[in-house]
Amino acid sequence: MTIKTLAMNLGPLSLLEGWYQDPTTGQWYYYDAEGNRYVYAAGYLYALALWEPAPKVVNVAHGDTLRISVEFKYSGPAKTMKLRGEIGQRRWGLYGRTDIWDCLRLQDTCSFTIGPVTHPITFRSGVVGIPHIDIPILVKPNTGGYMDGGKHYSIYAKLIDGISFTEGETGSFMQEDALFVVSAEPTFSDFKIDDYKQV
Amino acid sequence: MAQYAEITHVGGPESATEGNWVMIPVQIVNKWHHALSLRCTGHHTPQELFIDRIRDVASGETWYLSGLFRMPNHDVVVLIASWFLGTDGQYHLDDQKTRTIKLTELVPSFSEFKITDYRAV
Repeated sequence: MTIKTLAMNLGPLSLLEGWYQDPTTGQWYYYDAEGNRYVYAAGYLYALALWEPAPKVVNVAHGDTLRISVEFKYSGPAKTMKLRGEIGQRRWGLYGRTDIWDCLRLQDTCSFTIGPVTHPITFRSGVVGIPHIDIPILVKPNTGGYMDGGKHYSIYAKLIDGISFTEGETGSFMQEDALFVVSAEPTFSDFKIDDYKQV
Repeated sequence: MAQYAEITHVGGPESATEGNWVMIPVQIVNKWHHALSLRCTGHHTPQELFIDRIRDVASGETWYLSGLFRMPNHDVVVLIASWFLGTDGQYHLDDQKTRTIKLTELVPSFSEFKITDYRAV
């Protein structure tokens, strides 16, 4: 008896437009005709985000400003755009952890123009008019605060103003747990009676 | 057909992108049996002058020169003309050549977007 081997090249996985369900979690996902991915939750579709661990954790406190620097390559005609930075976190869905981006703070830069350039050139924050993204940190319970002290938050940045979002092309991956918000809760300690006398 | 100052070459790219510099090299030969004062002019549509030079050119000598212009947002037709100095003290048109340069359409393309740093300031 001889053993014969059948070799098959399945090629890259491609999904047709439509609904798919994770057999383990039961979570429903939707893929559109352009290959964009969405997750279904409570009657809404949310764009799926791609995550990566943050390379470092930055401690921030109420009143600080988070400065995000970016770089990207561009070739094409002269184009005007803005940068947007967001602070958020992953949202937990019904069936466990899902990839929904829950934005808590966002900040846009002023408009800037690049190009025309015929070959891809790297543009960096702080060079030739490309701004940094400065996001004021507001922590509960201060007025207007949205972030909680003692928690980790994630960040990402993207180009906006007529530019569609694609991770790694016009926007970054979500960098998980990039920030740690130092507690803004009032803290009392070392209470003692200093003196007592008849008055 | 040129009598004295024949344009033997008009170079340059087939196409260019808006805003880029376009260089047009030109060669003119003095066919006359004496040295002549020649003039070369270069226009591109719509009538922007980007070459206007005068030089004494020996008999049989080739005059190499070039001109630069920024590519506008449309196709251009470059018109190079050679002139010779007549006995009346005026430059007279002798030869003309054209070259068409197509506008290359640029398509916006982004890639490799990433966060390089973040910090509290």
